[in-house]
Amino acid sequence: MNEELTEEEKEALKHIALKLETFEKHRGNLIPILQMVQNNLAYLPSEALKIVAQHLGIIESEVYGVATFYNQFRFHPPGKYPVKVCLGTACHVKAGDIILENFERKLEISDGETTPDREFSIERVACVGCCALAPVAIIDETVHGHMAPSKVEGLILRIKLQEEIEEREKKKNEPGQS
Amino acid sequence: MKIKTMGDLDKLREAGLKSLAPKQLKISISMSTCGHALGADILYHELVKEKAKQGLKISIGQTGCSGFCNLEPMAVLRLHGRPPLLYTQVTVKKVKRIIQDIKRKKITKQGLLCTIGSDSVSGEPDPALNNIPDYKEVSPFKDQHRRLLENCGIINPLSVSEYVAMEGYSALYKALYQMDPEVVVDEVIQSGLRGRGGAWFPTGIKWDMARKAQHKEKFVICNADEGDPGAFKDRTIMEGNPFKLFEGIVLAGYAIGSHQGLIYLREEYPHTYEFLNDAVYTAKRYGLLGKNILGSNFNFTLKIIRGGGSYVCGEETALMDSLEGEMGDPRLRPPFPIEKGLWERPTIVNNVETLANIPHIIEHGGESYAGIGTEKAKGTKILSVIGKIKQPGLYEVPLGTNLEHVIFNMAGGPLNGSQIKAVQVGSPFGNFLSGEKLDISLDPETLRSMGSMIGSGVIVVLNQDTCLVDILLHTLSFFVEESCGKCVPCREGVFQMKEIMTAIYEGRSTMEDLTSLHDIGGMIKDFALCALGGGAPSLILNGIRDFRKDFEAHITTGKCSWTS
Ligand SMILES: Cc1cc2nc3c(=O)[nH]c(=O)nc-3n(C[C@H](O)[C@H](O)[C@H](O)COP(=O)(O)O)c2cc1C
Ligand code: SF4
Ligand code: FES
Repeated sequence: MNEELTEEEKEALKHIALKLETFEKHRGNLIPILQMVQNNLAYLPSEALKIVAQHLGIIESEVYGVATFYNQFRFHPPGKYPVKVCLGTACHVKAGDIILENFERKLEISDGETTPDREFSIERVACVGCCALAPVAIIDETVHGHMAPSKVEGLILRIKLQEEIEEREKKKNEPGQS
Repeated sequence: MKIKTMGDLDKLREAGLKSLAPKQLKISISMSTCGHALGADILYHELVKEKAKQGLKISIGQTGCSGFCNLEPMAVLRLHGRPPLLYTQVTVKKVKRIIQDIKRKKITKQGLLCTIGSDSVSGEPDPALNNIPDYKEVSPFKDQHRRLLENCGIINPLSVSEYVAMEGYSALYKALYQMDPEVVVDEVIQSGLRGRGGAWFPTGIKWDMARKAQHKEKFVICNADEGDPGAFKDRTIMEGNPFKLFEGIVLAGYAIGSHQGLIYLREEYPHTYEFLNDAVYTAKRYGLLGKNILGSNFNFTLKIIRGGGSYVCGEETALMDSLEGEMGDPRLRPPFPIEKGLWERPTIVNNVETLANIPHIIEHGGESYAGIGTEKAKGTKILSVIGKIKQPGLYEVPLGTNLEHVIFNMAGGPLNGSQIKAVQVGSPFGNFLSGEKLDISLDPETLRSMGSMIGSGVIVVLNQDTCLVDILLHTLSFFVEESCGKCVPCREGVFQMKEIMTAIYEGRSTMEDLTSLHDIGGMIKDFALCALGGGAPSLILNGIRDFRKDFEAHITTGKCSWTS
């Protein structure tokens, strides 16, 4: 939990502090608040847990305890493109673990980790409710059904290409450049 | 526009009928989670572009999920004077071809699965539709009894008028104007409806107790945590016909005297969350939620809450902890939620599918509802058939339907003509039944008499390539991961069982380990606080009993003979 916050994240944290004020100081709001923080920052840094605890007037370890109980909360920054591989029953019997292995090998990280450039991260999830499409992987909220090991490289390549194209567009539009 | 009178409802019904049988060509694309996964949004936008480019006189609409994700994206084509046509696995190319054909007064046959409700139009046989079956005759819809899913995939899920045209909101109108709350409860008792979330508790009895509980504040919680891996029936109802669910929830509120409802939604359904919020917004605009519902003096608000992604939070008491901002662990009972539930107020918790049954019961009466099903289990059940099966998906059938019939005649049998090795009804807790034991009635009593359960209706089909040690270990790992850790039998006992199972799987074990599993299982079975820890041992012990060969193969050869 000791990663340094980026400048962007520090800005976001200020924004969160403002937004917190719109939540009643009510214990039942703890989870919705944590969801709001994660929506803004993509994870829960300890700085954020601190201000949440202050806002609700409870101790920080209690906030931390509740947050760790739920699978949805993360304590490390995920990649810009989080990869989630479904290992629910339908996906398990259709060899979802092989899809996971392929992502791990291709991105050179394990389940639960983020690539050093913070581009990709891998997570396992239980059923995402598209079992008739098993095995299923989700990249950045888009569900990809009927996954096959051979599709893994293509999906990652497509994202990298997309990034590069956007990068070029951005450069082209930057003022002062011809 | 707020609906206040019967006249308003009638007007809306007419508008809905027009929209369902439009004068000009209408193409509706199925736009739910699974449709998106297969490119429905691209299809939709291409269609919009094409319309502008060619100046086409067509309207473009959307539908929800019908329960067969692998046939997505689906499209419903509405042509004047003809029954709606259902196309499957539609692509941009195919849809352009369909439009071109229509200009030439032809109907594209490629990808056309069936007509929807052929008898609704003029009566004359239509030569252009020769040999096109009605959906009641064609797989995967044939033999289904789609009481709950009837509108899913057919109407625009966010259109109040289309839902009203399909009888929607007449039950609520009837209840609010003509029935006292206790009469509503009586009908539900009469219907024999039992909870579809897995425990099969009689819904009417729960409501009756909650109605009698004295408190000015009560809650209705709709359990949409849909945690059983392989289940997606609740998602399909919510994305395919959300107003049917809302109607059921408001009826529940009216029946027990509650004015606040909450839908506790599974965290893994981000698309559904956005969608339900749109639906709530629309329902409020029409006066179907909020103050003075349908012009009556009954008020009811509904909020959508996203869960935290924890399986135990599907258990009703843990769910309420979670809503109160705590870690979700099951509470000791009594007190029961109907006396002291959320924030210590009387609360009923009901599953999505349970609540979606209510409008039918109120509209047609409990007795009529009870006309199908078995002696003790009435109505239909949505089964989620998954695994090594030709046509996976949702099959809504009367309770008491034969399992073999569902697997072979409705879902097409095992993949690639292989043989069935085992079927798990009521996943994740139900036993794995061997392939020879499938000639049984699907109802809670029959499955209980076999030492198993029907649960929320997830049916996992496994063929000869599957290893039972592998799948049992997978299920056990799920339990260990999802255990809340509150009680020792589950925290320590189930964990130890998993360690032993892992050793067996990896070939580091002896036959004695099977005895240890028995001993541990026997010890912890009766002492776990909730069904998660309590259900794990029998699943494993029955697995050892019925699939001993797989265990012995692992122990004696030291490896799994099924994985390459
Ligand atoms: C571990 C566990 C998980 C559960 N998960 C769900 C769930 O995801 N959805 C659900 O409706 N019920 C679930 N239940 C059952 C609920 O506790 C409760 O019985 C149900 O919501 C009551 O509604 P019903 O009577 O309409 O079925 C679960 C129970 C246990 C023990
Ligand atoms: S059985 Fe398991 S999940 Fe249920 S209360 Fe005990 S520890 Fe928690
Ligand atoms: S098990 Fe993977 S989507 Fe349901």
